[in-house]
Order: sequence, then C-alpha cells, then structure tokens
Amino acid sequence: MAFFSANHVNISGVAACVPSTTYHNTDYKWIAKAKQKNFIDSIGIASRHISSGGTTASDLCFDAAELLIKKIKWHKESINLLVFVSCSGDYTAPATAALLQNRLGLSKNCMAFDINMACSGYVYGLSVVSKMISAQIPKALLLVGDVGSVYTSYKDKSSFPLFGDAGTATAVEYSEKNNTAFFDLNTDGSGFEALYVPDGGSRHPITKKSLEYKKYGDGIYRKRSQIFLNGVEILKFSLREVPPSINKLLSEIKLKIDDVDYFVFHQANKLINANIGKMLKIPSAKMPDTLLHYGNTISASIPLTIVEGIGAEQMRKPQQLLLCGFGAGLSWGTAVIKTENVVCPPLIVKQGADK
Amino acid sequence: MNIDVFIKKLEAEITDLPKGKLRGETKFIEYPGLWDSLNIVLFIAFAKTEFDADLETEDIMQAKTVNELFAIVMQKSGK
Repeated sequence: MAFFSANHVNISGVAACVPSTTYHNTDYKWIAKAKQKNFIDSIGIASRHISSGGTTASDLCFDAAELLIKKIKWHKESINLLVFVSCSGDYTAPATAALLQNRLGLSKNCMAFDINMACSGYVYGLSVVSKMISAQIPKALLLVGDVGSVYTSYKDKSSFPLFGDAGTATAVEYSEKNNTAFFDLNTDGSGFEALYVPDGGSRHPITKKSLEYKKYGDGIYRKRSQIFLNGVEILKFSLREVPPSINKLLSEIKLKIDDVDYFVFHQANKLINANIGKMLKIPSAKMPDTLLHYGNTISASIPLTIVEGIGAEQMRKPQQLLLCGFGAGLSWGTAVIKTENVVCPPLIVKQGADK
Repeated sequence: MNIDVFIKKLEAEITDLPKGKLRGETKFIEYPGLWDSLNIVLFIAFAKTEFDADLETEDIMQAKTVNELFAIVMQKSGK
C-alpha cells in the first residue's frame, strides 16, 4: 500500500453545486414498474440532479469555488494552487484547471493542473494538495466534479439510474498547527474494464461505430462512447478491497473505528456502502449518505456528502473524518484527517444549468 | 449455520422470493426471472458480508435448488 502523511494541513471550507434539473428514477421506463421499487430500495437512489444541456463539471465547480472563496474571505491573489479532479474535463487538452484559473480570476502565479480520476479522485486530489500544502504552499483550491449522467445510455439499466452530476470546491491551507492528514492509496489496473468508457481516447478514437447502440445484456444497450459498468465486478472489488484498506490505515495510525466521527464514503450505491458498513461494524449514524437525492456523483460524492450529509453545523465542530473513494481504475484510497471550523455554505442549486 | 437459518436470510435478502415457502429442495426454476442482474448482485453481496464467500454469477446460476446454493456458499465460505 502507498501509505503517507502530510503535516500542517487545514481544510478551511467545502462547497458543492448541483444542476437544478432532477431526474426521478420512478420515471425510468426502462425498468419494469413491478421491479422499480425493489431496484430503488436496493441501490438507494430515488432521484438525481443531472446536467442535460451542456453544463460541465467545471461550470459546477466554478460556482462552488466562487461562493466558497467569498465565504472564507480569501483574496484570490493569495491562491497559489488549483487542482481540478474529474473524468469529464472540458477539453481533451488543455487541462481544465487552466480554464478555471482564468475564469476565477486567479493570479498567473497560481499553478493549475488536472488529475484525471473518477470515484477515488477526491482522496487522490486531497493527497496531492495536502503534500503541496505541507511544503508550504499557503493556499490551494481543490475543485472536484463530474457530469457522469452525460455519458450514460438511457437504455442501460446498469448505469443510467445511478449517476448524478455535481461540482465541488475544497479550500485547503497551510496551518502552523501540526495537523496531520494520513493517506492510503491503491490501484489495480487489471480490472479497468469493469468501469470505463471504451471509445473517445487515443486508444480507441470516436468512429461511426462508437455511436451505434449494441446489446450487452438483458436491458443493457449502449454505445462504446458511453459508460460501461460491470456491476458484479465493481461490487466484488469494493467489498474485497475497501474494508481491509480502511482497517490497515486505521491500524497504521493506531485508531479504531470508534475514534472516527464520520466515515464519508464514495456514494457508489446503497448495496455497496451498506455492506462495507456492515463488514466494518460502523454505526449507520457515522456514515452520512447522499445517495437518495443525488445518486453517484463520481469524484464529487465525498465533498458533496460532507456538505449535504454532515452539514455546516457539525463541520464547525472538531471532527475526525475518514474519507474513502473507490471505483474506476480500479483505484481506491482512504484519508484520515482532523477538521475544525470548516465553512460549508449551503448547497448551490444552479438554476438554469440545463439551459 | 444450518439450512433453515440460511433460508430465512435468503428470503430477507431477495425480496422477490415468497416468505415462509422456501424449502431446501425448492427449485429456482419455480421462480422464472429470479436471478436477474439486481438479485445476483444482492446475493453476491449477502454471501460476501454474511459468509465471507466470494461468489461468481455462474456459481449462483448453476445451483438448481436452495440446498445446492447453500452448499456452494458453505464451500466458498471463509468463515
């Protein structure tokens, strides 16, 4: 395991933004009415906010960042680092972080780069930012978001009902206090085909065939330019890798499950998260959940759950957080960090985001 | 773990199965469409969490009866 720590890290604020358009899974006709309730109960996703008309992950992150910078009263010229984590950037090149640096009016002295990751992306992004902060970069913005709904096929019951869209901003700064963040990051690329988009990269550029629907199973039709999700493999991977990884990290830093105030997991689906919770014997009150109304927002799910699942009042108090992301790659990562006085503005619902 | 306890847990997990009617010798063929993708992932998660058994979809599909499914789970159980 890649285990490391970063000192002097302070999370000052977390903000999140979702598009105003919602999609209710009870309206999803591709699953028979008789099966719908059982399906929604099992995956735990009743509705999702979706970007249906061109709003990108960076648009949602931009709104979250603008609000957060205002609320924590940072001067924009003092921000020296911007990291954008997403698997739905604006362009193949350049890095979306550069566009956000300009759009947010940040200084040219601000370094800005992308990390192309999905469900584990927040923890990976936080680890990179934390290490740079501990090297005395004073202030950083970690912008994390995805618009997964754009890449799903309506005629694919294995992925369409799961994904929602969101963008988030996390403000991280150097603190004289010796606050240490701990990380455990892991990868198993042999399983990459369990969750990926086959066409659109340089390995398989988009061709006419990429845009043709093909049957992959009962109720599963999709294009090669859309998300391919093997639910069984992702479930098996998550239950096999995540609980031992969390136990290992906790043991490494001599903490117990009881010492953690909140376990903020990637919001994959209820089936996966409930079973991870059961395996680790985590009380459900310590596992905030935003699946019901936001679904799986890929890289954004952990910060969105901090804002909507834990909330501003609790985040002002001292908390020991364990954050765990897992998914496409296959990739998984866990972070443990103490927080206090974290500013969490109310969730932004971006009106007209789908226009 | 005996078969009666397994059946109770199975009924609780797979809500498409009728409560109180399953027996060890019950054949899954009596419930057409039971092993759809959702019920397969529900059962795989149940087997992992309750029995530390790593099942494949094929393991479930090859079990013709409740007894056979129970035997496969026990065989693969790490507990």
